[in-house]
Amino acid sequence: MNNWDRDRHTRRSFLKGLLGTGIGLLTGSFSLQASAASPITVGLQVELTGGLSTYGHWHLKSARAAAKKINSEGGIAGRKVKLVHEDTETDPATGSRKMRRLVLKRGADVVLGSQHSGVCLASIPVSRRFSVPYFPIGEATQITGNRGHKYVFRTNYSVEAHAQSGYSWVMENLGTNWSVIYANYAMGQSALKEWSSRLQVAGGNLVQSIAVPQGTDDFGPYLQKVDSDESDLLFIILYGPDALGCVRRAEEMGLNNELEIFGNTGSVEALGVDFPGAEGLWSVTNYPRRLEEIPDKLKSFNREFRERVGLKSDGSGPGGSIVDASHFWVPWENLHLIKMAIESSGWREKKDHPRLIKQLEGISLEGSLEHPQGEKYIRQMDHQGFHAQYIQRVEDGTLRIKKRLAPASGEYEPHSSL
Amino acid sequence: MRWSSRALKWKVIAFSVLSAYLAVLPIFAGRFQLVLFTEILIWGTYALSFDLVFGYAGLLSFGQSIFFGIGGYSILYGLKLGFGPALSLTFVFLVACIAGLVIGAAIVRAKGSRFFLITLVGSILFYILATDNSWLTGGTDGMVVPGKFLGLERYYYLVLGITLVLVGLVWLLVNSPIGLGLKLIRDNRERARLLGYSVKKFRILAFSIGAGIAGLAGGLYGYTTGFVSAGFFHWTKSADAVVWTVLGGTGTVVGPFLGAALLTFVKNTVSALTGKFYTATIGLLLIATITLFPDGITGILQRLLEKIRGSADE
Amino acid sequence: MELISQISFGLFNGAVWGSVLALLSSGLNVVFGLMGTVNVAHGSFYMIGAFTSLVVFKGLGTFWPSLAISPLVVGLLAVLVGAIIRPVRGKTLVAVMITFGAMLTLQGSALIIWGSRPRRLPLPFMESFSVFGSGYSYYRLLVAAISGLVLLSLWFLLRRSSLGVLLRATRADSQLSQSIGIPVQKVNLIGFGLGGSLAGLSGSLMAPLVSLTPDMGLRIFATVFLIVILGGLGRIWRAALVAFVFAATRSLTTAFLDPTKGLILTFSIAILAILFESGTGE
Repeated sequence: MNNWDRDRHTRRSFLKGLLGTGIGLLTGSFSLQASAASPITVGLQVELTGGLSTYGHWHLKSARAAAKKINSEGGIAGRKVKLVHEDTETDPATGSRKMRRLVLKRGADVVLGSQHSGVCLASIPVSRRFSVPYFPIGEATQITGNRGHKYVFRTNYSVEAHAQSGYSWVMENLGTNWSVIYANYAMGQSALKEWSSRLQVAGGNLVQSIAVPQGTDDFGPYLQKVDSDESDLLFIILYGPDALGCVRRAEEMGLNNELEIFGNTGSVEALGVDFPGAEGLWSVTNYPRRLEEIPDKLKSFNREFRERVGLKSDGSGPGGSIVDASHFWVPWENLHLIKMAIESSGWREKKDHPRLIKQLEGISLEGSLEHPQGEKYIRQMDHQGFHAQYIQRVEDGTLRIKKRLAPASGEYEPHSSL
Repeated sequence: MRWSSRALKWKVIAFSVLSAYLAVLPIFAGRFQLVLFTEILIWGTYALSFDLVFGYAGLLSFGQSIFFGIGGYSILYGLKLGFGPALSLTFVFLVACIAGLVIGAAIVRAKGSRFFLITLVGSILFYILATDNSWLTGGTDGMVVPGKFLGLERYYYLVLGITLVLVGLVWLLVNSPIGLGLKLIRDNRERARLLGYSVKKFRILAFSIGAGIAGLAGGLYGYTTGFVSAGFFHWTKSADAVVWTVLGGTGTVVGPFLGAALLTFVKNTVSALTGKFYTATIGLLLIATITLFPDGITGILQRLLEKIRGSADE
Repeated sequence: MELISQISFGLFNGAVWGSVLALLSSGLNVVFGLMGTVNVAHGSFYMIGAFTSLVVFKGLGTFWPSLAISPLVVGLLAVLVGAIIRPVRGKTLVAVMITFGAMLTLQGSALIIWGSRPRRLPLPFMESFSVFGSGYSYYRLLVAAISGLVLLSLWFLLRRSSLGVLLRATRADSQLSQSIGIPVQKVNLIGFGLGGSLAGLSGSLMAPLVSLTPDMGLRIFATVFLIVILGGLGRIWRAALVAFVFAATRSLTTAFLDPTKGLILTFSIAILAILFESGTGE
């Protein structure tokens, strides 16, 4: 039986497929038979091409390093971890198709999700349909809100959590009169709403919000709208090349001399900060770029973690280029989280999923090698995770951590009850 | 005459055999293969819409994604309004047809490359409209299509049924006097006009039916995957329809399906050709097909069959 | 910022952008005017020009040589595409599809070679000056100047040189031209190469100012097509003028209007323009 089983998964040619499916049917219902020897298949949705490919590349490395470590230490409940991945191409339709492929063709027992919110939202129905635990990384609040369901767990912050945790610090330290420049699509609009609504409720002033269409090359016209007399702060909610273009143009125009500039998560994470205009740039991040800036009690864990994944202590990768490390710890941590949950719940096969879910709800973790980003917990009600985030600033050409914001500071009203 | 009735007989036999095979597929196919075939049928239908408009009516439309998107959102809103699946799908077809009628009436007067540009720009325009109005469309994050999951098999049979019906209807259409009229207009506009054909009316008809079919494909895709997003409108979807049809063979009913089947199958199984190699590969494939095998796969198959039949005839 | 300074900045910024868009639209029009083909790969030529600058910068440590290298490289590439199209010249739509295939191939190749991570080139020099209170790099002025010069040279080439006469003759009536001994095939290829070089140069000039990604050609292609359509397909100088007006308008309206609505408006106008144009047939 096992021979046919393997053939069914590796077969490529159409004609062989015809023949094999006939026999495959007979054995298909047994293919997920649990046995002490059979591996646990973990699916990984990553962006390997397209706009978010810098994330995907490192998420894959991180997941592989975690799998390697776990397997070298005896696997999960004695079973090997088999990691299978698919490229979402940073496109929701492709991403959900790849999710189906992971679940239906490659036999994933659980799936570690994508960085792209659109992909996650498109994949959540697949995880519900086929009852597969899904761990998306995308930050859209609805993922653990009105689009979530009990098979979905997110250990990293949502857009709303970032805002809830950070807004009062920004108001107290950088000013209460904000000019916001934001990417005019779902992610940017959502971040604008979460940050500015809190600003206004706390008595601050949203001087202006400047929408920028995707793929803008020329930031001049948008930046010259900025009212630097009335504003204390230019708040940047842009991603990828847009963020880069905006910061550089702002510097060229001299805006950094007129007001504070603050970048939301994901905006300056991949920016090299050694150019003059970057001096004084503020931002918020999940994970400090430089090892030196990481809190002392987590340093040794992170030193080993980075070594295993291949990230240098200054936050650069093998080629020397800066890595956006904001979320690369998530696959590593999630894999260890899954291991722990499987082992403590006695999960063996698909029908045990409810046990696994119960184990994950309300779980609380300490900083360790398995969880190098630090302490965190998963809220039972909506399966949303809460962790620390950091305010950082560019000083003397390097990033320095200025403040750590505790996990509980990110708690907001849950949007669903699971 | 003998030739064409024999060819006809063969075509009917081939069609029946294929239909029979597809009908019993779910019995022995794995879950993933079922999803794959469902997708192939939907994409084939979508490509068929392009073939009707370009292969038969001679209009190079890069705007099929407009109707694919309209179809996707029509099924979403149809179901939300409480229509059952059958009514919703009919609704989808009607909405898309009407949209095609309205848009077609406005633009078919444009000639050749201007028509192409209008549909291309229109496609981009609709995409921008869709991403900008996320209250209506959910933007690129999309919206979930309501309704219980009915099982992969049911979805497969639904799609198969609709596809077979559409293929049959289109085949009848292109072999009817209307179809002949279309082909005449495509090949020699002036002559057609002299013979009394209303070029404009025929074109609008073809465009509108093509829009309906593209819309239906979009509706089915949204329905069977449970998800619709602004990405349905993206012009690269229009481009896909073009590539599949050209590859499979323009001006045939089966060509679009062959092209869609080949590329979808390749995309899903040959991982070496996915990801970063895919775009360049289909670009080269497109150029090679147009310059070396202008009749696509069907052309190649036909020539092969002729050779076989030719030697058998002797 | 005050209204006057906003308007002035808008016009100034628009002039710089406009000059590059004028270059790009001219390149597209040269090809359309000649072969009646809308070259969908034009945006990809721009992209290759930009990436050539990246390669030159990484290899030689300086940016400037790429301004000469890119037009050459992309020009040759364009000649290649033109050669592929030659056999199907008569069938416009088929030619269009080939250029579409070329676009996919070029973009796909860039994706394979450089991946999708956005690249940046540093500005060749850092000096800047103040425009109504905002800093503005001298490099942008240089871009406008070079574009203007090239456009001027193009005008001379087309109006005064013998090559220009050949190009225009072939465009007007290729059969007649052929019968009087003009090597139509060769002239067409040169035209294609010229159009490509213009795109390549634009890409190089813009490289230090934007993010380099394989799909950067697509993003600008829609804008360039718009301009070409609004100016009238094949009408080089009208399109160049439209380019400036378009860029200035966009700069100005961004200050006062929602940019997405502006885009929607522009596309709609473009569609109407195509519909009502009584153009040069095809």
